[in-house]
Amino acid sequence: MFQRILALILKELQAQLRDPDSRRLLIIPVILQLILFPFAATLEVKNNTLAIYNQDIGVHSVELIQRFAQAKAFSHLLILHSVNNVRETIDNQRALLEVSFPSDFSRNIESGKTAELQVIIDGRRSNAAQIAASYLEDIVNTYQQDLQLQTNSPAPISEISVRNWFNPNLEYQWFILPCLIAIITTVGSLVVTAMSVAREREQGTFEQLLVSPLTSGYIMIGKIFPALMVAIVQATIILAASIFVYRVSFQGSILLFYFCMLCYGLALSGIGLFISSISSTQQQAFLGIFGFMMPAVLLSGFIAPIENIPEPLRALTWFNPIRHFVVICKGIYLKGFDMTFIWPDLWPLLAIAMLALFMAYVMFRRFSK
Amino acid sequence: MLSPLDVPSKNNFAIFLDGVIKKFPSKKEIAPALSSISAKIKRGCITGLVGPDGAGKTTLIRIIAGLLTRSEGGLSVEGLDPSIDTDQLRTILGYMPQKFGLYEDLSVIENLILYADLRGVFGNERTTEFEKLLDFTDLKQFTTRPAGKLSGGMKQKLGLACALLGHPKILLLDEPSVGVDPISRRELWKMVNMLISEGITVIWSTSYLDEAEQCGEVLLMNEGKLVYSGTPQALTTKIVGRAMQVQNIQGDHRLVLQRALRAKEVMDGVIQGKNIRLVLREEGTLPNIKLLIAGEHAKLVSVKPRFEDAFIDILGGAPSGDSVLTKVTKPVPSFMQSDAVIEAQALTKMFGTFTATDGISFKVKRGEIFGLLGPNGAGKSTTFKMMCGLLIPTSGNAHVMGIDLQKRARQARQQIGYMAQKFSLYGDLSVQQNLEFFSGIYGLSGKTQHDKISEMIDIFDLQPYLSTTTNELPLGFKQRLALACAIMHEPAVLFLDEPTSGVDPITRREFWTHINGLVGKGVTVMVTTHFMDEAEYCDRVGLVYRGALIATGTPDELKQLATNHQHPEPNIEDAFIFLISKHDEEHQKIDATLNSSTISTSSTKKYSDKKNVFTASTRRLMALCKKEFFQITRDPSSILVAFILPMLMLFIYGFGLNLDSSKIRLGLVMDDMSPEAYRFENAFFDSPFITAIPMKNQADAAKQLTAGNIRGFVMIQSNFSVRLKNPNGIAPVQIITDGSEPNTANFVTNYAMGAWQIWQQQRGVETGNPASDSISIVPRYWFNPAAISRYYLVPGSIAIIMTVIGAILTSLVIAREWEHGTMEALLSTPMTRMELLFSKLIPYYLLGIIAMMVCLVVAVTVLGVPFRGSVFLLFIETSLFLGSALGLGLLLSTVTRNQFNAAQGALNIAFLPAMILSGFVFEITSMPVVIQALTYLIPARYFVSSLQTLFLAGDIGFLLLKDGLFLLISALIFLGLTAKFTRRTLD
Repeated sequence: MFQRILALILKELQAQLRDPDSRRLLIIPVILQLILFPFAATLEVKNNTLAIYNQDIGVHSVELIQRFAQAKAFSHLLILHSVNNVRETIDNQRALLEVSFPSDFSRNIESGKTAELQVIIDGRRSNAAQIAASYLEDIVNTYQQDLQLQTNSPAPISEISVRNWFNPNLEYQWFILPCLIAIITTVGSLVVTAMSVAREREQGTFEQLLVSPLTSGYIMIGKIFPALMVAIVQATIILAASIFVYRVSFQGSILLFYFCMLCYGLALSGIGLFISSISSTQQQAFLGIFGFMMPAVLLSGFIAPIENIPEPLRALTWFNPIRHFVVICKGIYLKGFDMTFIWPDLWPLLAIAMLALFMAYVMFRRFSK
Repeated sequence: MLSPLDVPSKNNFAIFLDGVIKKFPSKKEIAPALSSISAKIKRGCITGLVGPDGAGKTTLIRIIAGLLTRSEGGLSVEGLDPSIDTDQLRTILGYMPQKFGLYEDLSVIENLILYADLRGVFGNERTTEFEKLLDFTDLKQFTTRPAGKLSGGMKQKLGLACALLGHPKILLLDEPSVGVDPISRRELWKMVNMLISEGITVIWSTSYLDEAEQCGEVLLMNEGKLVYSGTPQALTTKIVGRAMQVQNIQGDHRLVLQRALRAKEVMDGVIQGKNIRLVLREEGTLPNIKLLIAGEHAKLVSVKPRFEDAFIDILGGAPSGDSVLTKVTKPVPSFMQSDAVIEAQALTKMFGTFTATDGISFKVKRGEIFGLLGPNGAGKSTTFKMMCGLLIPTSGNAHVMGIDLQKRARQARQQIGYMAQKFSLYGDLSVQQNLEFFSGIYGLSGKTQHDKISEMIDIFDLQPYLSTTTNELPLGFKQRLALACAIMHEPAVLFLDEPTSGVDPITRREFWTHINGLVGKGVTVMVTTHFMDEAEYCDRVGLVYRGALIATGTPDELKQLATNHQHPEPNIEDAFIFLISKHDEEHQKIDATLNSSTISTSSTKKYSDKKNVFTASTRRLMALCKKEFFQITRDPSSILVAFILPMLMLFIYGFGLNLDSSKIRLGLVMDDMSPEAYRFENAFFDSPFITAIPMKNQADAAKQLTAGNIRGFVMIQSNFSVRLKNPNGIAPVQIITDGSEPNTANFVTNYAMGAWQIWQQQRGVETGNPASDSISIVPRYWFNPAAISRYYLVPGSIAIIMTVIGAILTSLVIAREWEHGTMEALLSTPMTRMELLFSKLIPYYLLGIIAMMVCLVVAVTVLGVPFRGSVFLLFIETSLFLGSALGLGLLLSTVTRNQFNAAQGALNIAFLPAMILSGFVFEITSMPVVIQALTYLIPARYFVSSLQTLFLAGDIGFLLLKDGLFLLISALIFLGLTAKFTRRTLD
C-alpha cells in the first residue's frame, strides 16, 4: 500500500505546485503578513502627538515639556493656547493625550505643595492612550525623583529594579514573529486540506479516487501529507525571516520545534478534512475555513491574553489548537522550552488532532456510501 | 460586405455571417477559435449548428448574441450589428446558454417572473404568455419548485420558456440537449418545431450528429472551421447507396468489423447491435464479403444514409479498426465459478423516503458490453454508482468478479477501471504526472510502472504531450489519456459513464476500437449512456425506468419489441421511447391517482401584475433585486456570513477579548520572612489588578514564569528588612516579567510599581517621614471613563463585520453567477450595465444596513456599549463605507469571475488590512511611515474612526465629515472601476 500512498502524496504536491491559484495562495499571504505584521501589529505606542495646554510660567512645566518631547512615544507636541482648544483637539483626534499644567504648577512644587497635572485621555483609543499615559507617568515620576534628590526631602527607602526575561527590551516583534508562525501555517494547512477536497469534488476527480482501491483512510493520508509539507515550508520561511531578517534569536531546540509543528499540522489537517467532508463546494469550504479561523485566532491568546477571557469561553479555548500552538511556538522560540514545558500544551494538541481526524474519517466514510 | 445581388433574397435570411473570425488573445494556440465563417441563416427555420466539442459552436452563438465581439468580418442579425446595436438586438433575441441560465434557488415561477421583468413583459401580456408557456412546457404543476430541484429535461424546458419570453425573433439555443434523455429531447424538438410555424429563427447547437437530420439547415463545424452549410439532406445524398449493413453475422461481430475496416473499399464502420454498418468509399464497390469471415449466411443490405456518415466522409473516413492496445493486453483469465463477472442482486437504494432504485438485478458475462439506459432521474446512475462501489446499496448485493463490493471493496476496486463522462483527470497535472499518479494508486511501482507507462504512451501517441498540462490537451487526447489511466492496472471490468458524449465521431470510433479490442481479450464493460450510438455498441442493454429495470436484452431484441407497422425499422431510440411509454400505459392507473394529487390548482392569474406604473428599467432593476434577495435568504452560507458570523464576532469582541489585563497572575518570592516584608507583600494582595501568588522560592518562580503560569514575579531578598531598618539603607525589590508577552509585561511592571509606591507611602506615614508627591497626575478618560476595552473594540469590530458582508460576501456573488452561467443569460436580456450594478448593490447594501442595525441594538442593549452620536450620521457613514466595501467586492468578482480567486482577493485586500491597518487594535501612529501611508488607502480606517466617535464621543462634525469624505472618495473609486470593468460582453 505504501506505493499507492506515495503516488497519492506526489500527486497532491504536484497539484498544489502546478496550479497557479494554489501557488499564489500559499505564497502571497506569507509574504504580505511577514511584511505587514511585524511592523504594523504593535501594541507599543510610538510617534504620537501630545497636546499641551500650559498656563504655568514657571520652570517645572518647561522642564517637563522638554522631557515629554524627548520621549519615544511622543514625536509631536501640540501647544494649545486656550481651554477651548482642548475639547476640539481631543474630539477630532489631533492628539492622543492632552496635558494641562495649571497656573500654579511650578509655584506649588517650589512651595512643597502637591502640584496637579491634569491628563485627558482619548477613551475611544483607550488601549493606546492608556499605554501612552503610563509612559507619561514614568517621565513625571523620574522627574519627581530627580527633584527629591535636589531638595533635601527624605531619602528613598527602597529601590525597584525591573528585568524582562526572554525579551529584555520588550520588543513587540519578538512576540509577533513566533505567533505569526502559528497563524500563517493555520491558513496554509486548512486551505490545502479543505479546499483541495472541495475542488476535487467539483471537478469530479474525487469519484475517480473513490473507485480506486484506496480506502478513505489512505485518501485522507494523501491529503494530510501535503498539508504538513506546506506547514513546514511556510514555518521555515517565517522562521528564517525572523532569525535572519528581523534578528530575533531562536532559543530552543529546532528539532523539537519541527516536531511540534508536525503535531499542529496534524490537528489542522484534521479540522480541514472535517470542514471539507461536510462542504460540497469550494465556496462552502472557504466560508467554513473562515468561520473557524476568525474566532479561533481571536481566542488564541495572540490578540489578548487567554486569562482575560471570561470563564465559560476560556474553557472552550481548550479545543482551539491555535491557542496551544501559540504557547508552544513562543515557548520554544523565546524561552527555549524543553519537553517538560511543552507537554501541558502538546497533549491537548494531539488530542485535538486525534478527535478531528477521527470525526473527519467518520464523515468521509459516510460520504463515500 | 454583401453584394447588391443578395438584396432580393435578403428577406429570406435573418442572419448574415461574412468571414467572421474570432481570436482569443489569452489562448496560446495559433489557430483562431473561429476562422473565417461565412453563412446565411434562413428566417423561420431551425438551423443546426453541428459539430463536436471545441468546434467553435458556442463562440459563434455568443458572437451572434453580441456577448462576444468578433475579431474580424461582417455580421448582421435582422439588419443589426450585434457589437454595435447591442441594445436593439437584445429586444428581439432569446438566448439559452449551456447551463440553461436558471437561478437554482429560485422557483419555476420566480425564474419566469424575473425574465419577464427583464424582457419587459407586463400586464395582460404576461398573464397570457405565462399561461401559454407553462402549458407548452408542461410545467404547470411545478411552478413553486426550485429550479435546482428539477430534472434535466424540465430545466431545459424552463430555460427555453425563459428564453421565449417577450416573443423573440431570433432564438439561440446552445447545446439544449446535452445530458437530456431521448424522451425529453423529442419533446424539446416538438416544442421548437411549433415555434418555427410562428416564424421564429432558431439556431440550435448540438454535438449529437443525429439531431442534424431534423434541422432545416445545417452549419457543420469542425475545429473552428465551417465544413458544410446547407440542408442536411443535400449532404446525405452523397452517401446514398454507400451505406450498407452486414447482417446475419456468425461469430464475433467485433472481429468482423475489424476486418471490414481493413478493406480499402470501406470508409467507415460501426457496430449496430449484432450487425455491422459500413459506409463505402464509392457507391457499388463492395468489399469481398468472404474476407470478412462473417459466416455463410452473412449478407450485405443497403440502408438509409445518416448525417454522421457524411461528416465522416468530409473528415476523410474512419480510423483503422485495429487497436494497438490488443497487442499488449494480456487476456483476462476466464473466471472460475460462474459466468457473471458483474452481478446485481436486488439492488435497492433509498435516499430518505425516496426510492431511487427498487430491486434491480442483472448479470453481465465475461467479455460482454452491458449498457444501462434510461431517462434522467430514473435511477440509472444510482445503479451504476452502486456497481462500482461509489454508493452503498440500502439492500441487495453488488458483486464484481465474485467479490462483494460492500465487504471487500478494496479487492474489488483493484479489478475495476473507471472512466467518467468529464474525464476525471487532474487538469493541473501534466500528462506524465497523471499517468504516474493513476498507475501509482493502483499499486504499480518500479519497473512494472515504468514499462506500463511507456507502453501507454506508445499506444496512445502521447509522447509529444508528456509535459503538457492536461487541461490544455485537445479533447481527443484527453479522452485517450483518460482511457489510458483507467486501464493501466489491467482491470477485468471497465465502467464507462457516457464516455464519448460530445466527442467528434472519429475520436469516438477510435475509442470504441480500443474498447472492442479489450472486450476481445475478455474485459467486461459496463456503460451508462444517453447516447444512442453508444447503446448500439452494447451486447446487451438494460433499460432503467422509475427505479426499476423494465427491459433487458440485446439491442436487436429491444428493437424487435418496438417493431410495428408505424416503425418497421425502429432504431434503438425508438425502442427506448416505445418501451417507456408502454411501461407508462401499463401503470397508468397508478400514475393517474398520483398525478391528480400532485397537480396544484394554482393558476398563473395571480402572477399577473395590475398596473404598469414603473418604467421598464425600474421594473428590471426591481426584478433583479428581488431575485438577489431570494438568493440571499435561501442560501445557508450567505446567512452564515451575514448574520451568524457577525454575531459571533460581536460577542467575542464584546466578552471574550479584554485588553485591560485585569487579573494578572503575579508571583511573590519572599526570601525574607520578617513582618516588614510581610507588610510589603500585603500591598500586592490589595491590588484589584493582580492575583498575587506566593512562590516557594526563586527557582519555583522562575519555572512558573517560564511555563507561563505567572506573568511576572516580585522578589524580596533576605536582606530586605535589614536594609529597611538601616537608616541609610535602601531596601531592594526586584520585578521580573515574562517579556514574551510585551504588553502584559508592561502592565505587570506598572501594577507592581503602583503597589510598591503605595507601600512606600504607607511606610513613610508610619515612620513619620511622609514623602508627599510633589506632582500628582490626575488622569481623566474622556468618552470612556473606566477605560473599558469593550467600548472601543465593539465599534471597531462592527467595521470588520461590515467588511466581511460588503467585500467577502459580494465578491463571491457575482463570481458565482459567472461560474453558473446565469450571467450569460442576464447579459442577453435588454438589461443595462448600470441596472446590473445597482441590482447587486441595492440588496447587499440593505443587507449591510440590516446587519448594522442588528449590531447596533446588540452592542447597546446586550454589550452595554454607549451610543452617543446620532443614528442619522451612523446611517450616512455606514452607507458610504458599504459603498466602498461593496464596490471592492464587486470589482474583485467582476475582474476574476472565479469564486476561489475573488474570495482570496477579498481576504487579502479587504479583510486583512481592515484587521491590521485600520487602527482597530493596533495604533496607526506607531507604525512605520510607509505602512502609515498605506493606511490612508484603507476605507476601514475611516470607518473605525467614525464608528468609535459615534459610539463613544457623539456627533463630532469635523472628524465625521473628514472620514465621510474619504469614504465617499474610495466608494466612488471602487464603484467607478467596477462600472468600467463591467462589460456587456464576455470578452
